[in-house]
Amino acid sequence: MSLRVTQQTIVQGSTANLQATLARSQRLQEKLTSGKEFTRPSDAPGDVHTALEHRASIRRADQLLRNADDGLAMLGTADNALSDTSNILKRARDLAVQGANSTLNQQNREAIAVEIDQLREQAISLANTTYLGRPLFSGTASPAVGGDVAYTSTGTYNGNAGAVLRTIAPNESVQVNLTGTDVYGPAGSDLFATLATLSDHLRTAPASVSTDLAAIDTAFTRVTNALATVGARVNRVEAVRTQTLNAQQQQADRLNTIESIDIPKTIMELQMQETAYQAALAATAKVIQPSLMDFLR
Amino acid sequence: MSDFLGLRVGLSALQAHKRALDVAGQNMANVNTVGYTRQMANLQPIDAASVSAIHSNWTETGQGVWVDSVGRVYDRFLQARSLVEHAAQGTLARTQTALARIELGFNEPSDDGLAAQIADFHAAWDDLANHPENLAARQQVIDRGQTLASGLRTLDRNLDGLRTSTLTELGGVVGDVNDITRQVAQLNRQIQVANISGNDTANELVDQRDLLVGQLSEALGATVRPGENGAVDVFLGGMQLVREATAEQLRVAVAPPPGQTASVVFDATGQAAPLGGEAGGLASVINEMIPRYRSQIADVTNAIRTEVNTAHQSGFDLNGTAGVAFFVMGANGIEINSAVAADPKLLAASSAAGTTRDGSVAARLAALTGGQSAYTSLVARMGSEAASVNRQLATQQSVTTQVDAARDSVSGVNLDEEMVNLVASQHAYEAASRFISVVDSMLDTLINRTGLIGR
Repeated sequence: MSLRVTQQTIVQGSTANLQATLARSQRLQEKLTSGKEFTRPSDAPGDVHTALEHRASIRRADQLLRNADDGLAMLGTADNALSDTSNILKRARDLAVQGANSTLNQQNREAIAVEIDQLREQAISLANTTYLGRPLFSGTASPAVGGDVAYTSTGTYNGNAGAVLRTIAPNESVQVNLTGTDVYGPAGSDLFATLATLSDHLRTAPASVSTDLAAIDTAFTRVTNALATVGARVNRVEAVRTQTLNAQQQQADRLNTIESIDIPKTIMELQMQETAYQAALAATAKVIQPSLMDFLR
Repeated sequence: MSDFLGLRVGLSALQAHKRALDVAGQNMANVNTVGYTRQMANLQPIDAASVSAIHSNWTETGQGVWVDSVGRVYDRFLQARSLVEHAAQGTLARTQTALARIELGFNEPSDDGLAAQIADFHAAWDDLANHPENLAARQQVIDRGQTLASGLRTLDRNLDGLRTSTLTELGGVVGDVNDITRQVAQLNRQIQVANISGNDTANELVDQRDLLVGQLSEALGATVRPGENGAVDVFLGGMQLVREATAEQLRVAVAPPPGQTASVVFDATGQAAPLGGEAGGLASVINEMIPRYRSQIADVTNAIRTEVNTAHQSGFDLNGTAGVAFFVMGANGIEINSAVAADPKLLAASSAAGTTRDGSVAARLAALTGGQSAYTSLVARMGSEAASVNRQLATQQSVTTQVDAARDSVSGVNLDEEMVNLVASQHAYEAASRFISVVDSMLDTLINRTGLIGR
């Protein structure tokens, strides 16, 4: 059936076409001004799903990085405390070697014992190093009733064997603490007991001092091992942190590819739409103008 | 035969073509009138005496021309098709509007939609895991939990608001429909009267009525069947809405809770009317779409509540007590357990009593992903549905436009065509005038110039 063309159909057709062209232009302008390929889920449901997942991962990565940074700070504090402790032990060993020398008189031994006592106090104070208010080496134990410290001044351990973990990657957490037992040895034969025994022997039983050297060596080994553990953990956290950072960057790039418009392409499309719109306007003006009346008499 | 037959033939031609000229004028005058159907003067020759009789020896021509009728030029099937397509478009347009509003309520993808709120909530748990005894970190978990709960409640409340406003819209549509059915019935009566009295002026009334019937079918999906003497009967499904000059009234009925389904019923009988068109779209938004999205949001809410509570209840708080439920269902929807909200110490971050510096339960809460993925897939599903309705609507719009164009191509006025008709009628009129003057001059010759001999 060949269609009759009527004035109404021309007008409606032209208006509809102009509207459609204008709507496309408006859509492109919306894209250009927002810089986004889609602004509501129905614009591109699949892409929106991916974009939401990327956004969630990026936010999660932000938090994982925060966790890693916090863990690194905690490990760094532990590292300082442990290297100071190892220096104390070196000094204590020197003093013990001196004290074992049978040529010393009791007065000299007393002087060494006093220094050992002081070293012990220093070591205890280092063992009570805090990170943001919490003692580093007390595990996960609640604050002790007598005072919030890992070791009391008499060298009693208040903490437990709990591991403090930081989630540094999805399904991956790393222990960022060392318990008092790890670093200083089991209660009764720990570093502080060893130093107390040493000072006691210097004062009362000089002959036994040489036997304390072995205990000091054991304690020193524990601290050095702890230092090595801390170093290894720092390396691991840093490696994972870098991975997370890279992954986050990649996800941001991908999100950008999905969400953001290709500016030159969009501008080109807009230009083409404008041309189409002008052509449509010109055509409409031409089509509606002439009628048979122009040619009758 | 009469010698004056020629004059009568000429006169009939003058009258008929004058009438045709008027019809062309009427068409041109209504070139832009919405719903106007072009008219056409149907010219019929007036027969020679058609009753033969014995010995009748009629050998003359016919007796001229007359306008048998002025008819509307339309295609009934295109008209019916147009009604159907407009009804379908009405349904889709209302569905699409509602979905667009639902979509806006979700505000995704963005940096402050619910997805971000869920992520922030879990991140706060990680901060708490890092510093389980820090009251500021605890307070932050509660604050973000409250933001998340209020975000979830707002989503649901938005849908409830949409339901209320859609119900109002449905009421508006039904009110309009009642108005229109009354007018259709009234026009039916006028058309019947005009037709019975043999009056051609009913054409314009029919146009008006068909325009109104079109509105009825867009609003309700109504269909028509021709009645007697030019009237039409309007049906909803199989039920009569307008019968000749009587119109049924409709009203909106809402079922009691919990269903609260909305329906449109006949005012007189209370029977539910089968709905299409805009009202059908609105009713399905109220009865199907909104409850569906509300239940999906409830699913997401439950997913979040269950996984958070399960993990939280496995932990121990700062006082060494086992964790309580973090989220509870209040009268207005999900909210934070008021005991926890009042005392941040009740957040259960550690895995055993007496180890308040352990944050492993908080870390587990931070790593939960069930709520986020349930929500993401809800948004994606909603996006797909909206996109599909958008596409359907675009397709339907182009179908409707084409059908309307096809109908208009039959019924619409073309000015060039009318100009041609005008010229044709004018020439015919002039020719008839000339014919009359020829007959006149012949008669003049016969009467005045004949038989002068012997004067």
